[in-house]
Amino acid sequence: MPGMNSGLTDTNPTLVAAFRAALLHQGLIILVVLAVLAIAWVSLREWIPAARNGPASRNAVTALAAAEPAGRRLLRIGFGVLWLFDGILQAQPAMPAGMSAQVIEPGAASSPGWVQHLINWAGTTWSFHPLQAAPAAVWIQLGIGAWLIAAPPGRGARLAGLVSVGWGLVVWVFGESFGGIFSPGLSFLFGAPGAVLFYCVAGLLIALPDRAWQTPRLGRTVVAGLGLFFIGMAVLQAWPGRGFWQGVSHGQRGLIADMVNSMAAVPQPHFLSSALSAFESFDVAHGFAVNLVVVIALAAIGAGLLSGDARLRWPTLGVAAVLCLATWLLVQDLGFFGGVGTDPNSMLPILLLIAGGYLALQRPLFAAAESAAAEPAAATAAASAAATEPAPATEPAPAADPAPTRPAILRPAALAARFGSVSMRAVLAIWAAAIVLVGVGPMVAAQASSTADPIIAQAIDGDAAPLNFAAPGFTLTDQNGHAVSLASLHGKVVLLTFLDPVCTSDCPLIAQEFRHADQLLGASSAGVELVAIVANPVYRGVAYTRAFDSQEGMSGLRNWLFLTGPLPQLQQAWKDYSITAQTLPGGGMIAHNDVAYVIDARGRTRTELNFDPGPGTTSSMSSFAVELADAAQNVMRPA
Amino acid sequence: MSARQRIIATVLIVATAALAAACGSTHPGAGLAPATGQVTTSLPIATSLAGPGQPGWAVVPMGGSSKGHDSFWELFVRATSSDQWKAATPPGVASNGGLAVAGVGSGLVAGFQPSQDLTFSPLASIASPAAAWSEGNALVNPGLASVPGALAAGPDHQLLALTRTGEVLLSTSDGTSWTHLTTLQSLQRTAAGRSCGLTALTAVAFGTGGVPLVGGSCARPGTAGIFAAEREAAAGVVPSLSAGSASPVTVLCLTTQANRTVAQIQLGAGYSTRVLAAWLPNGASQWTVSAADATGGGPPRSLDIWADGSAALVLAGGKADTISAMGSSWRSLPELPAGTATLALGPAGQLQALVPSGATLTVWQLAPSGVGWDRLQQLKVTIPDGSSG
Repeated sequence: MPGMNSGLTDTNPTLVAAFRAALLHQGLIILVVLAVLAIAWVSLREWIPAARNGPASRNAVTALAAAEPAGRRLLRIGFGVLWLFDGILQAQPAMPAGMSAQVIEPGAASSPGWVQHLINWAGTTWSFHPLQAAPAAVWIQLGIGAWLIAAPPGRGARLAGLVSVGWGLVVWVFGESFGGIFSPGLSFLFGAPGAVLFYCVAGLLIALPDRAWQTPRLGRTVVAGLGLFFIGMAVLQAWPGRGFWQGVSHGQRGLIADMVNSMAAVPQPHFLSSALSAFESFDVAHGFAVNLVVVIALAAIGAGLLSGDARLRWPTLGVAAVLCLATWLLVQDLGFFGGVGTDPNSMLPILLLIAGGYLALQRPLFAAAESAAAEPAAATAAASAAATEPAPATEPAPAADPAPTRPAILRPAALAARFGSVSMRAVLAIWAAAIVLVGVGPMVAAQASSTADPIIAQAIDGDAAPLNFAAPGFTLTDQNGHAVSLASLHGKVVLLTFLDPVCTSDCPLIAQEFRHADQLLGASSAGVELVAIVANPVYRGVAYTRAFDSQEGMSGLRNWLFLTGPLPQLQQAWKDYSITAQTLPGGGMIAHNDVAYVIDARGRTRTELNFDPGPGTTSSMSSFAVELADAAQNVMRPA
Repeated sequence: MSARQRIIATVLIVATAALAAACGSTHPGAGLAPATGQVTTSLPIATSLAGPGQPGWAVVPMGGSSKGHDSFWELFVRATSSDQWKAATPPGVASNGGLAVAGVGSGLVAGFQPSQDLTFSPLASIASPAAAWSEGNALVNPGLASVPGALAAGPDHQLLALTRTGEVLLSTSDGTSWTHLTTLQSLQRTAAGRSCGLTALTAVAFGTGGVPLVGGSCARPGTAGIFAAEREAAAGVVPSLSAGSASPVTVLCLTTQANRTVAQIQLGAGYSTRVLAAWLPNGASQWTVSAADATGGGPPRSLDIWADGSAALVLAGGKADTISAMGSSWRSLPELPAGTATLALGPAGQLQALVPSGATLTVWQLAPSGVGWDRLQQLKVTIPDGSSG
């Protein structure tokens, strides 16, 4: 899939170092934001004593928190922890270079073409800008997790839920290729319909208004919905001909054994890989029995959830816990091992949703909630009595309701008072929201840019070498049969490289990078000449340079020259520019080094770039083109 | 949710799951066999040119996996009076895509079939086994078709090329300039092309009168698609070649040897594949066709037509058949050495089997008793692994 794999190793030192630096830099910004918020909050509370006992005072919030439905609290904190964990996983050094190749691309590979097209569009953002996208994903997920945990019940928590739905959908579509629902081999065991979709469901539940949690109806809906889900998964798992009933078929492992085998092969603690290998062997020998157990368990869980019978709650939960934990360990390999794991997969989120749904069936503590909502003054007074500092003597505690009029709220003084009156949890929630924004900003900027970062080229070939010496001259023949000398090009910046006209791989890529650089230069390209010299001692005739130009679409470039000449002249040019052109035996093409030189308008060599195109993906080619165009621009700038 | 609602919801969920299962069903290990009548235009291209009193040339794939561009097509040559082979691959271009060769007297013209980002075919020529390769400005653009008979050499430095876009080109200047002769689409519109159901072009050759010929693949049984390529209107000048009742009918290779145009033609596909040889002597009005030879499943691994008009096939399962002269019958050879890529002729007409394995070529010669094979030579070739990746 073009552009999806920069071809860099996951642990490319340049990218890893830059990734760490970006995280550190952004982390410092986040700490500064926290410091600013904390200082502002403390200062305002000192400045405006009344703020200490406002409607959002600590004790009022504590009362509200105690009244939060247990199910919602479980979901909020549980999925908050999961988002935090996922954010930490996103900070693995291999993420910038490995996310596309090891997560996004494999997920989309077996999907229909339109899915791949959609994934490619978004995946290009990551592969073009790995050092913006990778840290962004870290902060967005850490921010959502912290926000969910810290936000006091109310609008803040609900907003956190909505944000988690939004980001979850982005991850589900672009990171999980719609959870693989369009690919063959869909199975509960493998994480269908996508782990992050459960995050979205949880976020949606958290975002529901309070009144939705005031009756057991929500819990019944959630539990019934999960019941239907499990029934559906049971049917899917039981469907014949999909490869799940056989441990081995026609000499090949069945789907379950094959998945476990691939999981066992990834780097992980030995005891885990041993367990997986043992289970694989068991499944190979008893594939039918394993799948039968899974189908029965799924159906039983579904039936138990769907029945609504309170007596079946604990057995259902127990069976679900056993099935989910066993699957999580023996099939999903805890979800995050193996190079670029991004989340613990689907079993933990499912268990949380089941537990949350069952908790939601319980009648919430509405008396406490109503008491806390209706009498914030009483709570405030009680808190004031217990406080070390005396309550203000002259100003009564403001009632929780009604809120000030909207225009008044927007006045700076009112805003300041309101901010000073919020709880510490609310400050942390605001900070968490700021963390999310620290991630969203660069991600949006990355999406808006159509060219790749030059760091990809630098990671492949190293930095450009600044030089300043007179460029060796040459006089050769261009593709139209005209004599061209370097001296005749004075007055223009020359981008010089050496290409084999019958090359099968690197040289066509380099030609495209030169062409793209010319486009990036825009109007400035009028002052630039793109020059290639033949680097093949055997196939060096003008017919070959013209055929190459036609093949690569270079014929239409007015400022393109592909030069050749008698072998001694070519050999002199190679020597002058440190080019080696070695004839390989046995049907090999000419081996030559890939270099690009930037020669200024006065004929002085100013920059040397290693120009081995690497994998030749869309992102690496764009990056090289940007690097070349930037080098040309630098030379064109007045000193 | 009421019980009725739960039942309805359950049924809907089960139906959805069933649909998902049915749409996403896979059968691990199942491959798709080509539909009947479908013809691939990519044919095996291990081949050899040889004959008594002539040097021998052989093209053989060697090295590693073609997937990683580590498989290289190597050219080997045997001097006229020697039974020893040596590597002679033309330098300067990667040969991952294949080599199409055409004999010119004691020498050869070789064309590199395109691979990866190279879309045209550089040419190289050599006057004799002892001479050096010369390249000049010779190339075929667009590149040569991926078939062994994509290049033919005629008298007076004429070359005939079949491109991967289905064009037939003629050069009178050793490949430095080309004239368009015909295309697949043009031949499909002719009466003969319509009659046979022409679907692809697969080989070119100069006929006994120096007439450019082109062979193709026909979807309808009964007639092999061999046409004159000089002018579209002249299609059908060549006598029709009846080719049994199986389809498709594919001309695997076409050449002129010993004053005869010789063709190897594949009938059918899959397990019922058979091959027949056909000869059209100079001035003859009809082809002499051999009996059909069963290949044992699928197309032959290698095709050889030699200077004396004899032909050979390397088949699956270590089998090989030869036919010695016009009108004779196919003769099975003793089981071939494992991994035989192609057969060739020695200086005295002895059958040789060329067996590549990684970077080593082993040459086996049929024992005088005709029962087994004697190892004749082992040759190490420097394979430029990783150079094309």
